[in-house]
Amino acid sequence: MQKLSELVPVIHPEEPHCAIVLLLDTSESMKGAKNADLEEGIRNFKTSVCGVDGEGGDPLARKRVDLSIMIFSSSVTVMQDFAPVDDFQPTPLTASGSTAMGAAIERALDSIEERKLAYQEMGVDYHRPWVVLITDGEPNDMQQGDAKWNQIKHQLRDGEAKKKFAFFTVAVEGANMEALRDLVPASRPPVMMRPGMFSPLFEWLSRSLSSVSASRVGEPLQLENPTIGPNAWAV
Amino acid sequence: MTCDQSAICRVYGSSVRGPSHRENGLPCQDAFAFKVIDTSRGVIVVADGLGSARLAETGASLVVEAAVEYWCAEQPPDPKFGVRAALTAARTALIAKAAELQCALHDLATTLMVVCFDHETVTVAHIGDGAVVCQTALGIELLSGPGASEYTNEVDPLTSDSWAELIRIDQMSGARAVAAFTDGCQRAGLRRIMKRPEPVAEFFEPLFKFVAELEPGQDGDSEIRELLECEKFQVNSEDDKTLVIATLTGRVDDVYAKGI
Repeated sequence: MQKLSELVPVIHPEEPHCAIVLLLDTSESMKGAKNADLEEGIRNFKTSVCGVDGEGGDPLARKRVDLSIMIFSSSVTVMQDFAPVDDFQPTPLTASGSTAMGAAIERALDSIEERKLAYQEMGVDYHRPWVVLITDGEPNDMQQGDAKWNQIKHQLRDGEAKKKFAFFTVAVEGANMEALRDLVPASRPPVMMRPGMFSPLFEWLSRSLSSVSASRVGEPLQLENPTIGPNAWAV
Repeated sequence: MTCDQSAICRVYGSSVRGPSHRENGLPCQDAFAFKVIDTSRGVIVVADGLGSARLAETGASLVVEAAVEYWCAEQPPDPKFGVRAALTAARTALIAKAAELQCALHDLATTLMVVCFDHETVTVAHIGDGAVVCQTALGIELLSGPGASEYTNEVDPLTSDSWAELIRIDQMSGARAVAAFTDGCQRAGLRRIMKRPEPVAEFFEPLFKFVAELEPGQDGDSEIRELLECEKFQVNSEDDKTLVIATLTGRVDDVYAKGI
């Protein structure tokens, strides 16, 4: 008699996916060392997730994380649409122009809703998507308290409260922390990166995504506190 | 756990540790129990202790035993009332255990499915994820799917404050067989069409057929265990896995009836 394990097919091998948008400020103020450090941090992120020449990396995150990279200055550009981290080829960033942060946040939030819809259509399970905003400035396309500001602020707070996404804000030296604290949800306040710590930030991000990728049903995310310990990169 | 060979309905099942629990030296946090009360009536209870709960395996083991014990003691005539009452009894047992261990109720957090069946109907009270699938004359049908949580790593447990509102009660007539399984089997057994989970017929048809054709004395539990532990299943999910299957009929119209 044939064994049950030989008779029953497992035909639905899709991995649960985790969409993440890196929303990077490439305005004029990022020019110089900050921009170079950001580029290096992104390269390290890819290495942390994918390894080098088949060594290292995180196998689950490689299969499960779908990375999108958007850069914003005077306008918003999708540098890479959602794809496995393996497919991402880091390219140099050019810092110039102003800070269209409002438009960038809107675009990122729209893109993750579209991505979730695509997962649903494909029948793929998914984790709560992440958006990681990294900025050293303050928005030029909206002013604190104006209609656009309030609309974005509401979208962020409502989305976090309804678990539509997890929105992380990393302020780089020179950022307007007061404005960012007003804009993003108090439940996930902005953190100020220590100067030049882009690489530790992206290593933290890589480890965090590994945790999400490996998380099982019912497990709340246990993320490292970025402000303490030997790997601290924020204050 | 062995099959009651004297019954018209027969129940087989197994729980296995997932790869991640094996790697980390953690116990299986799934549990199941069942009882066939007479030849054609019974109850199956399946629980999945939450990975985030400190005493997940204690919670899962406790609730399956408590629900079966309640069902057998009360033998409630109304199935819908009965499955809800059995689930409530399981939660009451969790609260008592938390007091005894002086721990938080959430430390014992678990999902729960209480499935009762007779020759007419299959009825389930369900909180959290996992699913119950039936084989009927129409094919493979979903009786109760995972909870409403959108994301794959979020679930509402029996220990939730809003547990009473989270209970789903469903009933189906004309089932020939029923399978209850935890989320570790979900990716193999369910697919999502838009947001709706649907059972994978290619998975369940050979499963139900195999179990229905088992001769009395054959070890269906071990067959299920081997299935859950085989490579294709292990790479499909890191989670602990529980699968319990009951064949419900010895009726002459049962296309798979044999040797009952």
